[in-house]
Amino acid sequence: MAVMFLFSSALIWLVIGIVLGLISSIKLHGPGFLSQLSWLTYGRVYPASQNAVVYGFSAQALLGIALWLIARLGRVSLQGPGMIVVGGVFWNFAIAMGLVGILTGNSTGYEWLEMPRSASSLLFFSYALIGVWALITFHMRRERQLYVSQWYLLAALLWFPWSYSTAQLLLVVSPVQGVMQAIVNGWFVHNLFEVWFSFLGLAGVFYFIPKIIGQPLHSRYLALFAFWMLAFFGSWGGVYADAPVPKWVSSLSIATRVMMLIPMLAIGLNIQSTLSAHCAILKTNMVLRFVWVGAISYLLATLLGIVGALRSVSEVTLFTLYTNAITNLQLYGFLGMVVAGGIYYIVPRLTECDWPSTGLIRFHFSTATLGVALLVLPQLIGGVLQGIKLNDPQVPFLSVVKSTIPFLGMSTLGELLLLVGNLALLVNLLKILPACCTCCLGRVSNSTPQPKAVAVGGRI
Amino acid sequence: MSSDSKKPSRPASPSSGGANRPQAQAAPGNSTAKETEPTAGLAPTPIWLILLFALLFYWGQLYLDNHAGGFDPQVYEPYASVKQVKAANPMSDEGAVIAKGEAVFNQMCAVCHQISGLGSAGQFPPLAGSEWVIEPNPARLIRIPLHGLTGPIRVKGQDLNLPVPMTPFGETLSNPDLAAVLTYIRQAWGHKAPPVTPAQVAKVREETASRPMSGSAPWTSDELLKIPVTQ
Ligand code: HEC
Repeated sequence: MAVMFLFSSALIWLVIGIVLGLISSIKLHGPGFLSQLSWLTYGRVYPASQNAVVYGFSAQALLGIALWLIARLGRVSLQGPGMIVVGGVFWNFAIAMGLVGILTGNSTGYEWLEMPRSASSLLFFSYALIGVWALITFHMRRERQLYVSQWYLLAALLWFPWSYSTAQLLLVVSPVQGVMQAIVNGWFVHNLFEVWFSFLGLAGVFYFIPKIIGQPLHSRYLALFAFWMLAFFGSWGGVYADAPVPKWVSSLSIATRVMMLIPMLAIGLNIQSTLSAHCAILKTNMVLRFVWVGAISYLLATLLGIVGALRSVSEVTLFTLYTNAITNLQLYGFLGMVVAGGIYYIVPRLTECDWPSTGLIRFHFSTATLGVALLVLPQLIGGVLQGIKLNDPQVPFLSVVKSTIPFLGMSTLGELLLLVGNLALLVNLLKILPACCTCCLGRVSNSTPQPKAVAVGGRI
Repeated sequence: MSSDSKKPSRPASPSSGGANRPQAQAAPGNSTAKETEPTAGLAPTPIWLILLFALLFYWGQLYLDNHAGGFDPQVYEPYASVKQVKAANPMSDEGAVIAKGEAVFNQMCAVCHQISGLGSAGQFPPLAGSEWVIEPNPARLIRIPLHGLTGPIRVKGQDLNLPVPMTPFGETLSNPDLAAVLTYIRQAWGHKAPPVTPAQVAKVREETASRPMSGSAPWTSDELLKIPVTQ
């Protein structure tokens, strides 16, 4: 069962990623921690953790949700589930290779492209395998009328190979010279988040919210407007204000970043208008809660990103914890929550089993929400304070570093909570799997024409 | 589906009673085919959002007008324009020499050889592309403006017989000025010959001290060709 495979392995990477993140986070306030192991020095653990969460968890789980949504919204069964599982296996293999590469010191040194070349080529290949079958499924759809989420998904499917291969080509295969490297890298990271992840995550948000409250999405036009704005302005940014590049590059980046205010408002308005009359469901429905927190995190992260990009603000916040706070809000707040909501919604439909424990779901929600807040808020506040002090020549550098320690301690706590919460999800998932294998096996033999059943029956 | 109902394997987890079922999956899998999928309403995009978009777009243009340094790749933070960059960055020695050489050339030589260095047919020979100019060893080249030049000469493969001789500059131009102008013509118009130093000019002056610089003893092409340039 292709989607289930992607979900489970994604969760395992999430746990690995958070554990690595926890190690790196502890190192920030206790530098002696595990310092004997060269594999686990900060410069290696931190990128390894980011890569595990970005490619292992977010990308993989979102692809799983995307596949399910494409099949579901097109009212067809998922095409080529076998090939997708093969792609998924390679994907996980590539990430394992990549992480080992990073931890042994073979990182390329480019943010979010740290995996050595062999791993990234394999990653690209497996993406292609999965992506092609996703496109074929999309093409075979029986429901011709497209829903909002499908635009976002389709664009995302095509966006990743474009930006990933471009960045790989220009940075790793035949590297461009000088400041161009920083520009390409900034562009890639920005595209990955502001466009690719946003498209995938928002496709989920735009599906689950109206679906669960049983009402149509407020406005198709507003969603379309936001889509084009994101696609157009989202891909320009990524070069920070005082970067050592020609001034017009960073200015253009700032100007387009500010334009992101428009899609942000459009998306927020759309969600708010859809939900406003149905807030009561938020109290009872866990999936909706997860997705809702995810959507809010998205809006907040976008806003913080815009503010942080402004010249006057970035003078203070650049090179501080502020930037980490936004990344974490995007990764754990937006993507993490939407994915969790999606998994809670989709898995019972795939397996036809209930979640063994509702308590664990509630527990996951509270720990994850609290964890994100604890991870992000101290970094935001600490980052701004840190920036103000750094800009003050009177304050010695060491005392600036020391003053961030309490904030870092709190973030570590947040990260710990996230770990516990996601372990709850993993436990729940591990419990549901054996319970269902039996019924799935029974299902393979008589594949019913119903779209859902085929999606289940393709593979164990 | 039938196998499902036959086998009692469903309630694998005894705890999955009704109370334990999250709302999200109130509708179990079997009914999904009939499930309605979300649709989107047709509410229009609010006009204020579009106005805000126009406003921000306008702001963006103004911002780029003021902060993009005219899209010139030389403009980095914290400068706002090429002018500021040039003003703030003192020229390198080499740049200064070239700039001075260009000034001297435009003032002294361009009357005859033209600013383009192409000369004028039948009167003044071209400097651009001339083998006299780009010869790596400047021993012959330095002598030309010191004492002047006359008689038939071969430039860029053409035998020329020009009506007037070239005026000498040995008395009007100092060693650094001569070095600068020669460096300039060796690097302008796409030339890439090594620069000429004031010391080299001084050395030639010494070697030719006996020769008058008043214009009474200009060099001839044959004389110059006898001076060795392979060292
Ligand atoms: C009065 C006009 C005149 C001026 C001013 C003048 N030249 Fe010349 N130049 C000539 C003529 C005429 C010849 C060719 C002489 C001959 O017939 O052999 C020549 C020849 C040359 C040549 C060798 C031939 C060639 O084309 O490469 C060089 C080098 C040269 N001049 C450099 C200079 C430089 C440098 C200056 C300024 C410092 C300068 N000239 C100023 C008229 C001038």
